[in-house]
Amino acid sequence: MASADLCWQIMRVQSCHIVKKPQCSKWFSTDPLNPKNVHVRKFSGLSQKKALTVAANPKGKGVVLVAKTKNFKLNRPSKSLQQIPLTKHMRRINKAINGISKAYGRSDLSLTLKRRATALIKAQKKAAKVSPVKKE
Amino acid sequence: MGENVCIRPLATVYAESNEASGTSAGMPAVFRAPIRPDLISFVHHQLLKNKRTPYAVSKEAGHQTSAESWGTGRAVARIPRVRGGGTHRSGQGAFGNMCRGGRMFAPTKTWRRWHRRVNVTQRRHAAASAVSASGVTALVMAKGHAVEQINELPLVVADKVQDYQKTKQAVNLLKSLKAWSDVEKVYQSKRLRPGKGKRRNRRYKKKCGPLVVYEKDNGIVRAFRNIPGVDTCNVNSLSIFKLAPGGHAGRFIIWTEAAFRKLNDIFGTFSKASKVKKAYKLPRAMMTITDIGRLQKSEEIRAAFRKSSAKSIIISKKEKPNPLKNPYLLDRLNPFAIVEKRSRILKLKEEAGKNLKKPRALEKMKATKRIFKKMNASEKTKLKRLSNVFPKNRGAKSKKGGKKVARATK
Repeated sequence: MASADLCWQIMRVQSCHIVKKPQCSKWFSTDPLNPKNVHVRKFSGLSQKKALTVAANPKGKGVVLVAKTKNFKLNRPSKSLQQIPLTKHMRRINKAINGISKAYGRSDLSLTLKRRATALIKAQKKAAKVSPVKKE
Repeated sequence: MGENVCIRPLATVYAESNEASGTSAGMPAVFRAPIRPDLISFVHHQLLKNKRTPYAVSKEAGHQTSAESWGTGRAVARIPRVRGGGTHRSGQGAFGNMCRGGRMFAPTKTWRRWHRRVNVTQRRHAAASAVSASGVTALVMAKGHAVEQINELPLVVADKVQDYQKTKQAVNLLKSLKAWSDVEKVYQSKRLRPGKGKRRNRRYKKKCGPLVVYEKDNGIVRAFRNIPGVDTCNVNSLSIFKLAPGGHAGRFIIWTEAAFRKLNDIFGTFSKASKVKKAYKLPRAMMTITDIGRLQKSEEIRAAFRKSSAKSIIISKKEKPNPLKNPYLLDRLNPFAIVEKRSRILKLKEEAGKNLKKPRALEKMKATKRIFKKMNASEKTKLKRLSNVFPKNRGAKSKKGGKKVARATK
């Protein structure tokens, strides 16, 4: 019954992920599958059939590409996500993102994904530079 | 039908251990009912008003003095003033809404219209719609429930759950179903209520967790009662307040098998009337297919589309024609160029006299003819009108035509 289009129509105004900021006409989003954190249809991960994001790798190095599984069934939440770890060099990661997003059918997201990945990796590098607190 | 794509026709019944118990229940038709957030919020809002207790200001308030106006002549306002002397009150204004100690403006009455009657069918549609929304993962997640680890939605559990006596059992069930993260969210969300509600026995606010719908209460209500955020509800008395709290569709519902199987009897189907609600059938959707991409691809709709005109040379990116060789394109860039070109050619011809058939001129003619072939009908007519480079009857008439073109293109 509920297609991606209908879901978006409902979620556009009625979602717990909407974040509104004063003096800013743009609506932001805390949707975990939203690669740009902006509440628009293109980036809305929950409503779209195919969604991609990049998250920091929990192991500490590199990035994880999170995707809705290709033969995604709406009613199986636990099996809906797929994670692809990308842990190599930044340029390699960006190249991989290009390829994967194209093969997945969301090449329109590749630029945002790359930007997000780059930002995450840069942050990781910065964090690595700050030496951890010494134990005495 | 479009709905089968999204909603699977069967729902697995899960045992307490979160493993498929082997049985599966057919998907009740309610889960195909149209999702109408507008209707749900409206009905919820209206029905919420029926919970209000009447209140009013005292009937006597502000009128318990024997005040009377002093009339004119005392250089004070003609408002009624409290009689007598000896206290500060005497001589002060009374009764009016602008006076201290006076009556309020339009004192509230207990006979205000507190309650609202909502049409029965509307209420039923709203409930059906709320149930339907609870089967869509995206909407349940958008409502804020933590259902990422849940096996399936709608989540159906074996009937043994109805016999639970202990909260411990209930907690264990939620943990094994991986619904506990939703309860944890409730624990984390407990906060002080803003406003006066704090002193009216509503001190804390919290999110709502899963709703457990049962068919027979053999202790299940007591077992789940003390878990914050978790509600229980009998299938036979489903309430919109529990199905869509706050008027927002998409609550996370855990059904017991018996309750789930009863849904078709309660709500009926699209063709069969409900057994419980008199003469009630499920509402039909305005659109059976709501996937716009699919609609655009469907043959019936494509057939009704207006045909796109043949591709213009200018639009196609592959060819990239040269405007210096293509008079039509040149005309687009510079409307007067054709007029100029024509006059130049005429001049050349005059100079050359009868010696027209020079190789260069011939080449030009060939080039224009080649381009002419490539154009579609509308372009050709336009070109003919604009760039009559080689008119049949040269002379005064064509010159006039040229001027006209210039004016038109301007």
